[in-house]
Amino acid sequence: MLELLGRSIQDLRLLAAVRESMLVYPILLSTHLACIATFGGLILVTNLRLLGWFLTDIPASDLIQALRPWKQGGLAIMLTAGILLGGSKAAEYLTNPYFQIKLVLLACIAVHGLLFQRSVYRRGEGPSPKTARLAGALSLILWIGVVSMGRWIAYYDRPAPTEQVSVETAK
Amino acid sequence: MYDASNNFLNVHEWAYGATEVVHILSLAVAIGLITLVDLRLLGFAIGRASAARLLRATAVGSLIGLVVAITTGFMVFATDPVRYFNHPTMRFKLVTLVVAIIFNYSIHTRVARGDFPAAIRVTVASVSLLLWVTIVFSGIFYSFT
Repeated sequence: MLELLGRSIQDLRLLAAVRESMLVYPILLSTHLACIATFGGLILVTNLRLLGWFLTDIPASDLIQALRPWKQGGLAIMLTAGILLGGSKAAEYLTNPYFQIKLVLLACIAVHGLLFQRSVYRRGEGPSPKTARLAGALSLILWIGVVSMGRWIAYYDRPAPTEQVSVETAK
Repeated sequence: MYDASNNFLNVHEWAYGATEVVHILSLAVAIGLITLVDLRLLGFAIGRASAARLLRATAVGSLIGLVVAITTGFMVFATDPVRYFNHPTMRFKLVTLVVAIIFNYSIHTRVARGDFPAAIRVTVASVSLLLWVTIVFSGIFYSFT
């Protein structure tokens, strides 16, 4: 099912072009990683501030506000590159358990953002330290999970289809 | 003679993957913290903090990030040293890394701490960001060239 869906996604002309290009694929992957390093790093900065581990003399709300456009812009580029990369190999990716976990974690990050939107991220007078700490810690864990699973996609050993063949021949 | 086939990361695939994950996370720590200072140098307000204040607050974190990223980088390097060393893209990455580190701890630090005209601050921040992004790109392009 997922494999079939993946096939129809990756057969889209744009995504097939990405997959077959010698240059576009590594450029997208590098862009994805460069966004993780720079803008992902800014997410980390925000979380460390929310945890109260550094820059404590700058109000958390000031830092959140200053970094928001950068993080949003960076996330947009990161997602675009990521969707093109994953989409170009959709059949392989959608059936990869680590990619599935990565998608779930990204969904959790979206929920996290909505959940803490009013109490932390859009609060003019600054979040209460306790809520800020919770939001920062959760975000940190989720993002570390996303990056780890992203790398782990390459380590999935797909079960060899030989078993099915042997079952059929046994019949 | 060093034999890479006995290297721990080559024997244990999970350790290879874990090292790569730590490499990516630690470079995000280092480059993210440096990016924060660079945004300020480019003229964007980060609360009311000066570049010097941001540099002070991030210096230890970015140093730790760099040390961990370089350590894990060389752990991966050691799994196939001859191939890595002879690869032109990897050589380019290593040279750029040395340049970036020297730049970061000389000119970048001085300009972030001192009182310099906007043109110099913008130039230094741009060079800094360009160097770090180039390193990330060459790390990826290594496996495609």
